Amino acid sequence: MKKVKKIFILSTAVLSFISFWRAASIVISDFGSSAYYAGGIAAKSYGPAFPYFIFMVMILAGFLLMAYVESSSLFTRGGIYVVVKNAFGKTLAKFGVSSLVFDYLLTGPVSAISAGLYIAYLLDVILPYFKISVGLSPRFIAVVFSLAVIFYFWYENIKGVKESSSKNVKITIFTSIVGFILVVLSVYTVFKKGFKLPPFEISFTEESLGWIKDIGLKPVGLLGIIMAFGQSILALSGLETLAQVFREIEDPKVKNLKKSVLIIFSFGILFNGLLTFFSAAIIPYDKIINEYAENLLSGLCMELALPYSLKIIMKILVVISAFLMLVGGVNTSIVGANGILNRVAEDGILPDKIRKLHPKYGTTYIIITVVAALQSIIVILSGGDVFILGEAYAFGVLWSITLNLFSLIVLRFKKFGGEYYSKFPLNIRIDKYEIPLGLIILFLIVFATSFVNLFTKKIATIGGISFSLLLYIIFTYFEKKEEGKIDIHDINGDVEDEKVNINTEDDISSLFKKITKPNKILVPVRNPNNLSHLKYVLENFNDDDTDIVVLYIKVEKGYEIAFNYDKLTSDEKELFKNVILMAEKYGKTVNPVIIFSNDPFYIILYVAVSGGFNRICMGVSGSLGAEAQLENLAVEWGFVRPNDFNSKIEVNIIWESRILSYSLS
Amino acid sequence: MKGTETIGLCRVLKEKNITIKEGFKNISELVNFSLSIIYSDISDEVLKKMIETKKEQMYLSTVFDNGLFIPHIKIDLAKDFYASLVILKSPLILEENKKIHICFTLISPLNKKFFEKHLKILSSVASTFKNPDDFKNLTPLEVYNKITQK
Repeated sequence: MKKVKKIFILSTAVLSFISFWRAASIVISDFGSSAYYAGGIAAKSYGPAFPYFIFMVMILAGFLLMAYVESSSLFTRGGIYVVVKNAFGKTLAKFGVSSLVFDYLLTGPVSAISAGLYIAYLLDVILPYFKISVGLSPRFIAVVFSLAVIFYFWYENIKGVKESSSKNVKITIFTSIVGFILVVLSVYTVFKKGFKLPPFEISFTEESLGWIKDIGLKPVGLLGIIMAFGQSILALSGLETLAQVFREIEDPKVKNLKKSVLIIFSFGILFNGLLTFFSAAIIPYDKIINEYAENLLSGLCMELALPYSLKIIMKILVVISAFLMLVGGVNTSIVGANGILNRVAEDGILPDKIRKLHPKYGTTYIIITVVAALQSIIVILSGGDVFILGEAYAFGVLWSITLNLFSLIVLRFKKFGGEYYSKFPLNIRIDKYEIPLGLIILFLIVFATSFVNLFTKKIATIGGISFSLLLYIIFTYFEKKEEGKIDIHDINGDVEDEKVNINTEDDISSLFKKITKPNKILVPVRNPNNLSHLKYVLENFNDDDTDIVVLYIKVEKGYEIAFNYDKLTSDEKELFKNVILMAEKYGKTVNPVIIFSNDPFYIILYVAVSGGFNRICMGVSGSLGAEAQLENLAVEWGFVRPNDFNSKIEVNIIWESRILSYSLS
Repeated sequence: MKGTETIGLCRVLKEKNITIKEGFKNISELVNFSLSIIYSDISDEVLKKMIETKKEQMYLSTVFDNGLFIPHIKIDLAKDFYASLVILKSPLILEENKKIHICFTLISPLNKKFFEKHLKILSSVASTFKNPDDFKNLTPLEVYNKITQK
């Protein structure tokens, strides 16, 4: 009796989930990396007051992270595009994404070149000891190094985020240790040499005044403070990445997201804020400008109250950490850009073809390749000048955050919400209205900064607007082109067409080789609108010790496969889309499987026995009813039950709030 | 519901209710014949009438690939299980080339406390008659003994 005909394993890159540590480390790799370059660029831009502003930016980052918690709790697959679209519609959402992609394309090169410069300056100190002369300028070395790094992380991301994020955890740990040592030695140095607070003096360069001087305004008072604050925003990168990795955070998602946020914020304050402050307090300002602007923390090492050899050792450690952290920033920029462009492509704004998955790794390799290629071009065009890139940066980050915050305020009034909705604090109730005062204040601060930056950061404004417009036109063109092909997804930000890979297995035993946890639950699915049994499983079982296999049985008559199964039907896509979205919502790993057979009940039991499952959770069949389902299973159990079977399989038929259970033994 | 193992069919099937026969034209004829065997065990006329009114449901029961047919219904008046077994010397051929070799008819009480046993019996029927050929050339007594051994 040949019942099993063909087995297909369905997989996407998102069906396994990451811990809050790992999620935090991905963001820190970008956010934390700015400690190595933001201080130097800010110091050159507006003078000795830079550590205060970097610190303020870190505090602002804390509040913005809290706002991201709110937006992520609203939309599992959130980020700026989904949030703004739900508040204002597609036009502004497309603009928000366009501007943010501009910054993602810049943040990779900024990080890579900065890492290259740290290495080049270290070589400058070390190589003469060995009587070696490279004869290459640090900026040239930085360009070559950057291209190599981008190539490396392009390949890592083609292989999948989980593999690359595991490295981020190690990098974050190592960098934290180096940062801690540096803080301790800085405290020691401050005690030994004495302590002098950096002066709160702001003096803008010609470049950093931008068009302000042409307008005739004087950069003093509140305007001066906002201008300096705006010039420091390049310390604020990687926050959108948090929204992009949220879908991959494991259960309980929002709680874990808050833990990630706390880790990121603490790291930002202690690493970026404190070390920049110590650098300003210990290194004379002139030296910062003339020697260490491109490698500030290396400069801090050289000014510590230590013997020269120890200074060099510390410098080597800092360069290693800078190398690891900054190249991690390159990775995050690729992850972030890939994530946000995926959200756009899912919505039919980019050709569906560009979301095609890599046949082996299941990643959106076309988007990743385009992002890496554009970053490489930017590296070459910059010629290794990190200040030019710093000047260009921040347009997208600021305007995307401005739009995001404004959207969150609007969504509050549109009464969006859900089971895990986590609101930004400081909400005042007036009559029947709740005023999101906290969000409004935050929005005004960011908007003021974005607005002033339009006039001060010429390169950012020209580059940002040009690039955003270009990308906006591309989005609009493809949106029109794709219109008849793809339905626009609904207001809740659902995905219209989840991309999946199908791998074929020869038999059921090979299928279950990777399913090794002590508990195994088989969840047969059929109707995309009847997944309450999967919801029950995701809510009640922990995937740490439980493998959850979602089984779809495609009923085929006859014993031979007569046609090509490469493509799923639209109903099946809908079914697996809903399965994937539900798994993402709960942050639990599921293993989707399709089997072709002419006898679903037989296959369910055959798979359960072959895979060593101890539970089957089924939805109720509309045509049969729960009791008839159990009767069918009972009969099939008589056929399937091996003579030597000596364990139990619990069967749960779940519908609405009822469960009918039976134990097969 | 508690866990169950398969149940010995001799607990619900009497030897006298096993028949070897052939020549059925269709499912309804086969089911009617099977029920007529069961009716000899039932003295309650109301219960018989109730089975008659619901017997069409039994025609729709699944015929499995191996030729096993288990028409079954649950009746709230029934206080016990009633069963009959018809082994067809030559199979009843249906649409789509399906064949019935064995017909095990089951009447179960419609009551939650019997449902578990009902399922257990269904499993036992399928398990016992996995290979209908094993019963093809046996007498009713031999069939009963074989079932008892299982």
